[in-house]
Parts: sequence; C-alpha cells; structure tokens
Amino acid sequence: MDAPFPFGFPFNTAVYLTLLVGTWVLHVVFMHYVLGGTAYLAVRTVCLGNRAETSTTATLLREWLPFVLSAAITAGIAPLLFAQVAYQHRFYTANLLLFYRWLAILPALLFAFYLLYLLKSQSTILHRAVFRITSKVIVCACCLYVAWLWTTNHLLSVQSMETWTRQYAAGTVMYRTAEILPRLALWVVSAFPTLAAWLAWQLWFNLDGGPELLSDVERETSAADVRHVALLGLCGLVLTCVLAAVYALQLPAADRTAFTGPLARIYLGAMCAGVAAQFAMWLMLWRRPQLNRTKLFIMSGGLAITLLGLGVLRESLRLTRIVIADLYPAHEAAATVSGRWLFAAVLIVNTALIVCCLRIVQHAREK
Amino acid sequence: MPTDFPYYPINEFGPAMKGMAIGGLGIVHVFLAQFGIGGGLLLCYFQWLAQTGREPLARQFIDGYFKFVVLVSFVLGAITGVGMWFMTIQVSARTIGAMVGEFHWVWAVEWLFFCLEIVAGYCFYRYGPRLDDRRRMTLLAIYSVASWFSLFWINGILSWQLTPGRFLETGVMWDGFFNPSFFPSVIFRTITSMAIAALASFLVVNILPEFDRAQRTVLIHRATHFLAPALIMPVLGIWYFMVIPADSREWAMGGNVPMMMFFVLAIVCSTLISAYSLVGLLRYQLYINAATATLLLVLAVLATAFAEFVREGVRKPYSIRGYMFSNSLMPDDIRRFREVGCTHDDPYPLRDADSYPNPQVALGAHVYRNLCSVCHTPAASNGLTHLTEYWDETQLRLNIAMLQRTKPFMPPFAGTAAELEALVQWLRWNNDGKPATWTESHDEATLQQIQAWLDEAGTEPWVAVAAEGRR
Ligand code: HEC
Ligand code: HEM
Repeated sequence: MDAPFPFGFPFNTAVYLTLLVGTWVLHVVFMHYVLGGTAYLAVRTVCLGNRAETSTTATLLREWLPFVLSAAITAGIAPLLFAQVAYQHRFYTANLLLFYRWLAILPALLFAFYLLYLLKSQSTILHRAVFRITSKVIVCACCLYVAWLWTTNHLLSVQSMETWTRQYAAGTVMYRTAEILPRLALWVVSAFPTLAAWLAWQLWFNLDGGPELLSDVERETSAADVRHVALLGLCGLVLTCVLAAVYALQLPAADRTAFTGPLARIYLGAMCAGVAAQFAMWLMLWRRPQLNRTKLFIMSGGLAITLLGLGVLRESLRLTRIVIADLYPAHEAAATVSGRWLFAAVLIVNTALIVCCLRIVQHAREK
Repeated sequence: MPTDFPYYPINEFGPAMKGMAIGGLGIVHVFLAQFGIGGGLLLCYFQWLAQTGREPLARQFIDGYFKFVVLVSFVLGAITGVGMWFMTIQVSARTIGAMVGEFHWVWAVEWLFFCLEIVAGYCFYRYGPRLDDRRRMTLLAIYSVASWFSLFWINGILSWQLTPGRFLETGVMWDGFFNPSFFPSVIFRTITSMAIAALASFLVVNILPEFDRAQRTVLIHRATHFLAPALIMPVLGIWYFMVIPADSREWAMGGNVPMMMFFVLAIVCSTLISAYSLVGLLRYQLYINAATATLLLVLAVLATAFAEFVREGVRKPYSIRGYMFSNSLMPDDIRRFREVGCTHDDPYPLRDADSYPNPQVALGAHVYRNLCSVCHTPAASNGLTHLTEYWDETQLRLNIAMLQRTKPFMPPFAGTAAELEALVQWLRWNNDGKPATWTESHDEATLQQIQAWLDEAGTEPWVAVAAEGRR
C-alpha cells in the first residue's frame, strides 16, 4: 500500500472502507460525549459530593446525555453495517467468540439510558445523595463496559484462526491481551477534547445572544465556566497525546509502521496540526475566557481533522494486521447489488429535512 | 461447488432453542417499533384535530403522549433493534451476512431514516410545546414519515426471507425487495402499528393526570378511529396467505399443530381487541379505564407474539427460502458435505471433547453442533433425547438419513454415512444416560445401508420435492 488512504485499494474496497471510517467518525463524535460526559459526571460527583450538582457543565450534561446516547447508538448502526460488508467473517467471528458477554451490551445500554433519564428528571429519589452518586458511577461503568467490549471485539477480530480456535476450545468468553487496556484508556481520554468542544458550543449558544440552538439551560454563562471547559480540553489533549504515545510504544514495531507508512502518514501529520489548533484555541480561551465564533470554528475544525485522522489511523492499523487483498473478491461481489444511488439521493433529501427540523427549533428558541 | 465453507464458532444457548431467543427479543422489538410508527401517525391526526379546532384537548394530549413514545420507543426500540442484529449474528452469522451482502444499501437507507427520525422526534420532544401549529405539524409529519419508512425498508428485507420471489432467478436486489409478500405485509404492519398506537393511547390518557374522566372519554373515542382500519385485516391476512409458499401455508393451517395453535391464537387475540374497541366506537360513552387498557395492550402483545412465531416458524427449513437453510448451509454445501463430511474442515474443535466415551461419540456431538443445534438442544427445548427416546438404532439411522421426510421442516442431512452413524451413536449414548464407556460401531453393512438411504432421500429439501409433485 503506497498511496494515502483510501487510494491504494481497488475501487469497491475503497468505497466500503471510506464509508466505514466516515460513519465511524460520526459515531465517535457522539460516543465521545457519552463516554467523556458520564466519566466527568461520575468523577465529579465522587470528588465533590453535593457541590458537583451546581455547575453549568454538569447541568448541560444531565440535560443532553440521554439524547446524545440515542444519537451515539443510532450513529453506530452505520459503521456496524459497513464493518460487516468490509470484514464480514472476522467481525462475526469475534462477536460469536465473545457470546453472552457481547450480548450484555444491550442491558448495559438500557440501564445507562434509563438512569440518564432519571438523572435528568426532577425525581425526588435524586434528593438522596447516595443515589445520585451511585447512579452516576453506574452509568459511567455501563458506558465503559460497552467501550471495553467494542475494543475487545475489534482486537479479537484481527486475530488469526489459531487464536480463534484456541479461544473457542478453551470455552472462555474472556479475551485477554495486553493491548486492551492502553487502547481503552486512549479512547477514554481522547473523549475529553471532544467533550470540551461540545460543551463550548453548548455554552456559546446560550451566550452572546447567539441563536440558542442547542441548549436549554437557563443560566448565566460565566467566564469561570469557559475556563473550566478550556481546562478540560487542554488536559484532555495532553493526556491523549501521552496515552497515544504509550499505546504506540507498546505495539510491536511492525504494527507501528501502520501510522508512519504511506497509507496514514498524511493523516498523522494532519492530526498533529489539528491537535495544535485545538491546543492553541483552548489555551487562548483559558487565558481570556471569552467565546467567539472564530475560536470555536478553528477549534472544531482542528477536532474534526483529529477525529478523521484517528479513524484512518485506527483503520490502517487493522489493515496492517490482516491481509485485506483476501477480501477484495467479497467487496467486488457486494458492489454488484443495486441501491447506492438510492442511498446517495436519500442522503441528500434526509440531510435537507434534518436541517429543516433544526431551523424550526431555531425559530422556537429565537422567539 | 464451493470449497471454502465459512465455518463459525457455534455457541449453544443452554436449555433454550436459538429460535426462542431471537423470537422473544423480536416480539419486544416489533411491538415497540410498531408503537413508535403508529404513535407518529396518531399524533399527526391529533395535531390535525387540534389545529383545525376540532378537538381542543388534542394539543395537551400530544405533548403527554409523545413523552411515552420517546421513553419507550426511542430507547427500548432502538436498543432491541441493535439487539436483534446481534442475536441474528449469534444464531446464524451466515444468514445475516447474506442479507447484508444483498441489501446493505437498503439498510444504509433505512439508517438515514433512523437519523431523521431521532432528530425530528427529539426536536419535537424538546421544543414542540413552544411551537406554533404549522411547525408542530411539520415536525410530527417528518417524524412519522421517517419512522414509517424505516418499516418500509426493513419489511422488504424480512419478507424476502420467506418469499424471495423472482430474486432466486434474477438475483436482482429490487426483485427480492418488492417480493410477493412485500405489499400485504407492509400494509398489515402499518395497520397493526395504528392499532397498537391507539391501544397505547388508551393507557396513556388514563395515566396523564391533567385530564378528568369526561375529557378522557372524548380522547379515547378519538383514538379509537385508529382501530377502524383493523377491519380489513382479514382480507390482508388472506392476501398474505395466498402469496406465501404452499407448505408454509399448510403448516399454519393445521399441518403443524403448535404452529396452527399460534396462528389461531393470534387471530383470536386480534379479534377480541377489535370487537371490544369497535363496540366502544359505536357506543360513544364506553369508557376504557387503565386496567382495561392494559389488558387490551397485553392482548396486542400476545397477538404480536403469536404472529411473529408463525412468521419465523413457517420459514423452516430455510432461513432464506430456497437459498439458505436454517443451519446456515446452502444447497451446494449439502451436496458437498455428503461427500467430504460436515466436520472434516471445521477448524473449531469440540469444547468438551474429553467428556465423551470414544472418538465416534465425540464426532457425533460435533455433527449435532454443526447441523442440528440451531433448532434442537440435546435434552431441553425441542430436545433430541425426548424426541428419539423410544427409537431403535435402525429407526434413528433411517429417520436421520431421510431427515427432510421425517419432518419436512428439517433440511436434508448434510454429512457422510460415517458422520450419520456417529450422530446416531451420540444420540443413543445420550438416551442411555451418558455411560462412561461405549463401544464404537463400524459395521460396513450398516454404513452401506445408511448410504443407500441417504442416496434415496437425495439432497433436495422435502418442501421443494413436494412442490414439484404438486405441479
Ligand atoms: C430447521 C430447524 C431444524 C433442524 C436444522 C433440524 N431439526 Fe429436527 N426437528 C425440527 C422441528 C421443528 C421438529 C419437530 C419437533 C416436534 O414435532 O415437536 C424436529 C423433529 C426432529 C425429530 C423428531 C421427529 C419425529 O418424527 O418425532 C428428530 C429425531 C430430529 N428432529 C432430529 C434432527 C437431527 C438429528 C438434526 C440434525 C441433523 C435435525 N433434527 C435438524 C427442526 C429442525
Ligand atoms: C455507550 C455506548 C458506546 C460506546 C461507549 C462505544 C464505544 C466504542 C469504542 C471505544 C469503539 C472503538 C473500539 C476500538 O477500535 O478499539 C467503538 C467502535 C464501534 N462502535 Fe461503538 N460504542 C457505543 C455504542 C455503540 C453502538 C450501540 C453501536 C452499534 C449500533 C456501536 C457501533 C460501533 C462500531 C460499528 C464500531 C467499529 C467496530 C470496528 O470497526 O471493529 N457503538 N465504539
């Protein structure tokens, strides 16, 4: 592979891989809010107790987490589909090997969902501090569990038949490998810069007489809130860089070439620029805590590039671990079925309708 | 003939049949999804009542009802939907793989409608109460059109599994999508959705504290209109039964007793609901309290459950009619496995290989796992021990060699004579209470007899042979 992703592949393989990466990045945008948001609430409530409730960020999170969890799940369906087209046999095998532990994703998500709705409600049960604290910790644990399973599933799916049969014969549904923990830790900390970006926008729409598209929190946004979010972004970025380095260093040298090889090199470079842009904006906001459109757009642009790079680097690591050429015929076969133009057309129409919905809401908020 | 059969690690579900796991989740999912779809349509109707001044209470009702749609259908519906996918992978990865291969663009389109649905739905949920009538209607209409279209797309894929129609000859995706049972089932499900939404609204009206009894009566009466289309359900049912394969139809009509019972029960439940509610429609004053509403909803869940069981059941022995069998084999695989065996190339060993008295019995367990475990358990639900308890050896050999004639909803046996004999020994060993020692049986004459039976039975499923005969 000596062209940047996705150019070195046959056309159909490139199409499916691009759709997989593209929709996965969309999943990450929401998933990061959920993963980071629940972790933030849990840590905060454990450390601060009753004082945890009063901040703007905590209120925002309680308001929006249920919906964003819906969005994360819905957005996850598309990469779920394209992962099956792209890596069918591997994906299913990993699922099957994890068996009921994999299926436990469902109760975990369900539990997280209803607890989030409960936390959002004004239910009297929430007056008990014990309940408030445990429920936040449980929600966070559920989300971590789901993230852990996806990580395990991914790592299992790139193994060889020998590993699979050994795993199956052993009759265990636990798959242990040293890579899981650093990888999972990377997903968790990398959620914070994304979370910070979301929160900044949510603050912004309440601020400066902005059009108030996103949030309903009726509170004065103070400089302290902005600084708080900026600090979250800064710490998140630093930790992400550290953990990314740890993760890369524990990989075998051969795997590491995935990031520096021609497939992903450009993306790695772009990611560095993206991280730098975010870092600069958060630093400025921390020094002078005043949100404005330019800073937000530069920061979000940096984030978008970073997440896209993350998606491509993740994929190219997988591509160095398996022989993708074996799958070309399957992609070729999949590409013979019709429907892609319908997909393209509906994509346009439905995007327009989504914009239409948001404009209606904007109208409500301006009134 | 294909040489690279995609072997997967097969899990056993303990005492439960795999069909039960998927059926159970399917019922919850279908019911909730239909509640969401019908709910959208019902709300559009109430919004129309509100903005045309026909029903002053309608607006208040909408905002109350929508919370239930979000809390129940958005959350549970979405998660059980993902659950269905994961469960299908567990039961037959190759089936879902074939479906994804054929219909991934349709699924991708369906996903676009999911996205639209949650955006429109959530916008209404948060901002609906603050919007004027025209904008409320727009959001509700977008929401319900999006959710109805998600039904439209998935219905094409699911009905294709039972009636692939011209697809089997042309291989064209659209031929498979607009298959013979597409229209009857999409209309049927739309009407069911409307009925479920109406029944749910009876309960919600009773739960919402803001209405008094007189107001509740008015709202219930309005919602009852959504039950009226259920009157044409029998016609749709007949249409549906005309287009599904003859053998499937016959099973539901008495050929298979449990299936027929489920079918009759589904009809009984639906009739009870319609009869009770239509009396309410005719007699304006009839009031449905929370208890009655709950009872009606339970009946609706049962009707859904029975109907889903019939729908899943009549597809046997196929997971995709005429294309792939429930145990993930395609017709070519059966022919090939008759020669090389179904365990020969399987990279996955037995998990409990040490617990068998000899290699032949272990081989039998392996054959069972690969060919039978998708529909049977060793000794629990649809347990082979119970089914063959009183059979003698010859009977076992003959009936398994001619599996598709023993019961036409089983696929042909897909292994060698030696594998069949191993399976028979495994069954006998099980039936004998798993003694510590067991002698292997390697009688040449027996194997030849089995082979003769296998050859006589052929590799065509009986449903196909019977269809030939009928022509
Ligand atoms: C497509 C699902 C399916 C598969 C695969 C399947 N069966 Fe069955 N089998 C059934 C059903 C359904 C019954 C009916 C049970 C009843 O009548 O209560 C049945 C009944 C039986 C019976 C009892 C028949 C009778 O007349 O009482 C035997 C024996 C049997 N199966 C053996 C097997 C064996 C051995 C295999 C694997 C080689 C197998 N089945 C594979 C669905 C299946
Ligand atoms: C709280 C909920 C969720 C969290 C925290 C979460 C987290 C994650 C993480 C951390 C990964 C990366 C795994 C890795 O590469 O190591 C991932 C990947 C993925 N997630 Fe999610 N996820 C959630 C819900 C879902 C749901 C409900 C779906 C499906 C509908 C989904 C679909 C996917 C897919 C398809 C991938 C890519 C898998 C691959 O390419 O191998 N996610 N998720």
